[in-house]
Amino acid sequence: MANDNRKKSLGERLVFPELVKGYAVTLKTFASKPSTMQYPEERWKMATRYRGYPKLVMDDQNEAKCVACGLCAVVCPPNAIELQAGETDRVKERFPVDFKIHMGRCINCGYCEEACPKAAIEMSKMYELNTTALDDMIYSKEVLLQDY
Amino acid sequence: MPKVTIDGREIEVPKGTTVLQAAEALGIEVPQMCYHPGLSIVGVCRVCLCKAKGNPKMMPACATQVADGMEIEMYSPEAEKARRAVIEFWLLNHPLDCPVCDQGGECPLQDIAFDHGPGVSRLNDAKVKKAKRVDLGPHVILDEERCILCWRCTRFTQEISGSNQIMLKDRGVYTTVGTPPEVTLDDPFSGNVVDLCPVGALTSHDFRFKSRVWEMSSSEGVCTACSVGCNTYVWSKKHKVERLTARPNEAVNDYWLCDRGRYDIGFVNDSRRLLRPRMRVDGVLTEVEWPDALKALAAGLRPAAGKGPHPAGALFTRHLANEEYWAFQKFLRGTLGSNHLAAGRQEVLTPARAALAKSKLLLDGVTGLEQVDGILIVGGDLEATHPVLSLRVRKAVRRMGVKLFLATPEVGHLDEEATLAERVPAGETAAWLGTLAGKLKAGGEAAGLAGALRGAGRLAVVVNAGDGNAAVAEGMAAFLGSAPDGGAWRALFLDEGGNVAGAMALGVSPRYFPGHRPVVAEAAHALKSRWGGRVSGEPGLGWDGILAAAGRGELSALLLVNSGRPAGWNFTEAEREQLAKAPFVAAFDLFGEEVESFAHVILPTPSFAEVDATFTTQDGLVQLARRNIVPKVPTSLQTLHHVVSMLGGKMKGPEPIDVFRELARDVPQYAGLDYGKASRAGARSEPALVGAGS
Repeated sequence: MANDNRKKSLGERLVFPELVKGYAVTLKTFASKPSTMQYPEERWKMATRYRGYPKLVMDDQNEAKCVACGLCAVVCPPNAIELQAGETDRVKERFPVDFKIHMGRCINCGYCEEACPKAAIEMSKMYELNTTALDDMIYSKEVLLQDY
Repeated sequence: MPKVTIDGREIEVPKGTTVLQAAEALGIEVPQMCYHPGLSIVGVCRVCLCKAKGNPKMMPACATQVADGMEIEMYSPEAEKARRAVIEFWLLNHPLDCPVCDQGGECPLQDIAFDHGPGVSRLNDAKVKKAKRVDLGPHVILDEERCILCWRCTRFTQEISGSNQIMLKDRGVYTTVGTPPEVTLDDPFSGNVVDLCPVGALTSHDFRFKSRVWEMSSSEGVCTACSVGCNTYVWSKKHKVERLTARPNEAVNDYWLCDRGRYDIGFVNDSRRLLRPRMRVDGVLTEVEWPDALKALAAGLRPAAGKGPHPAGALFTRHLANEEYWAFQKFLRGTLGSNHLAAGRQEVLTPARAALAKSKLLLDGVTGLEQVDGILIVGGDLEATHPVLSLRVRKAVRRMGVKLFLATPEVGHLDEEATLAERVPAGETAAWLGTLAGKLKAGGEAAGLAGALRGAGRLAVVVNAGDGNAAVAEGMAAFLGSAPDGGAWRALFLDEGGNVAGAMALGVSPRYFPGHRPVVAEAAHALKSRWGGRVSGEPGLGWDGILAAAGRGELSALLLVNSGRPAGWNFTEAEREQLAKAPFVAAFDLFGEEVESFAHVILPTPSFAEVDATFTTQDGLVQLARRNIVPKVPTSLQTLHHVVSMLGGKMKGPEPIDVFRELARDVPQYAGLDYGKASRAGARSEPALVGAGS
């Protein structure tokens, strides 16, 4: 209403009652809990279905459950996953020699989790990628197996 | 011809056609697992079950021949129900470990179960456990659980390779395939069972767990390990060649590859490959930048290109592409004015061979082996030198009833198929053939081979004497002429090397210009008017002559040209000494290890997977191999193109397609051919290479 040249009434021209109204709002919320959060000391607890960045799941022998079938890599829309399979003497026969996810590319769609036939990749609650070097966003197999 | 109706559509097919073939001719998809066009029909997988009206039972489409008036239901509810049941039985004990299995993505079991299967499993009990990793031989590993008993592998070793090294063991759900006791699967064609296996039961050591099918890109390739020219698919992932598989071509290799060709791909990804040129700087071979190396090469060739007293020479390996042979020989002849070219120690194109090619006495294509009454193999063991051709010989013997006669130095696998086998020492083949021709001419009762050949009818003589081929060719016309009753006897010469026919036809020879034209003044004059430059009418030196002249310093420059696969020059100690004395040696090579003691410049060349190239088989089929991965280094044609322009000359190219266009115009053996025709199944020129003289 910047161009409102209409003559204002007296009530409208008086500032003081509006000030009082403002303070009333302040007073009302003064005693209640604040709605902001002291990030990073305080953090959100994410909803169960929240999709952060993907991580690899360990099996009971502290190794990746992954059998390197490559379905996550082929389904990944931004092509963020790269892996190389190899042969192992364990029962599962096939394991990822190398497994990399470029988190800078990841769009948190969760397709990898959905495609995985072994439930070996899942969406974590992690959403922070702050880094000073882009290459740090390429997570290696060791990093992906950590708890985050 | 019988008329059949399949799912309401009528088709007329020749007698003896199976329901499966008729349905495929109609474009009706028939799920199939044990059926393979290259193997016999057993009908064990039962997935192609169909219903013929009036017949109470389901019948396998692959094993049922059509009859007139037959009405087939391929996709009626009843047929589909039967198929669903069959698939359920397959999957009863199949581990369903598709994520781990290498076949995943190219697995007919996956496809068929998805398209026609029940979708859910009703099995409550535990699956039968079997061995997961059984080493069958040096190349093949078996997962017994995944096997669905289609018998393709057992049929292959029984019918095609003849080694009988895979069989079925045990009964019922415990049946497995495997090698007989104390036998390993080491026949030279073992890799084919991996291609044949529809599931992931048979995998190759070389490729196991390396890559998923969808991660790789494939392209049409041609094997250059021997002169057969088998068709392949080259599979690569991230610009690394991962495997070769057979590409069916009935005129060349049917459906098969030999292990020698299939598994010889390690050099493509070898880290020792030469990626930058090397040059002698102050006597030491050092890696240099391309411009420096090209300058050094041009400087080394300049004396020969000018009117210097000493000419240049070139030695070639026998597996270069047609384009490379053409471009290099044209460079040598037109720009450097030299006829000192040799592909291999032994000159393959001799007057006798050229005369035979002109006389139409050569077999017109290897498929001709199946259309004769008898095959006579003289010289070495086919299975060792030209393995896939030995499969065709076995097929001719077993399926077409062709009689096989052998005159080889030692007992080989083909002896089992032979009607008569005689042992002829390696060097004596030519003399032995002469005696045999004499016996055949003499008439009267003849014992042994002479007698057998007299009643042989049409005979194909396969000459596989290696370096002795030239000597055999001398008497071959006479031998073929000794055919009784004017029987049509034809010869097929097998030479060592992946593209030796191309080298011959494209004039990589001291005594012959392209198109089998002898080096004489008139021919040189004709070429000079076409190419410009200076073409010499004097025949040049062969392999030994070139090396001797280089050692005496009579050649100003020597080129050693190799690309596509490792050279295998195998220079003797004496030859090395001669090469060390040569004023300038430039080598085109993948590795350069063999030449580094004497070469002045070594230029890297790409492997077979990195370039478009055509190759000529021994029977004159021109086949195109496609580039599959990004070249690690410039092609030899690009390098040559640079050098030619630095020397002030002109060359077509450097794209191989342009070079091929030029050679197709100039060489009668390639007349009318282009890359389009040479792709896929390959093409024979008209007039065909065999029989096309000047």
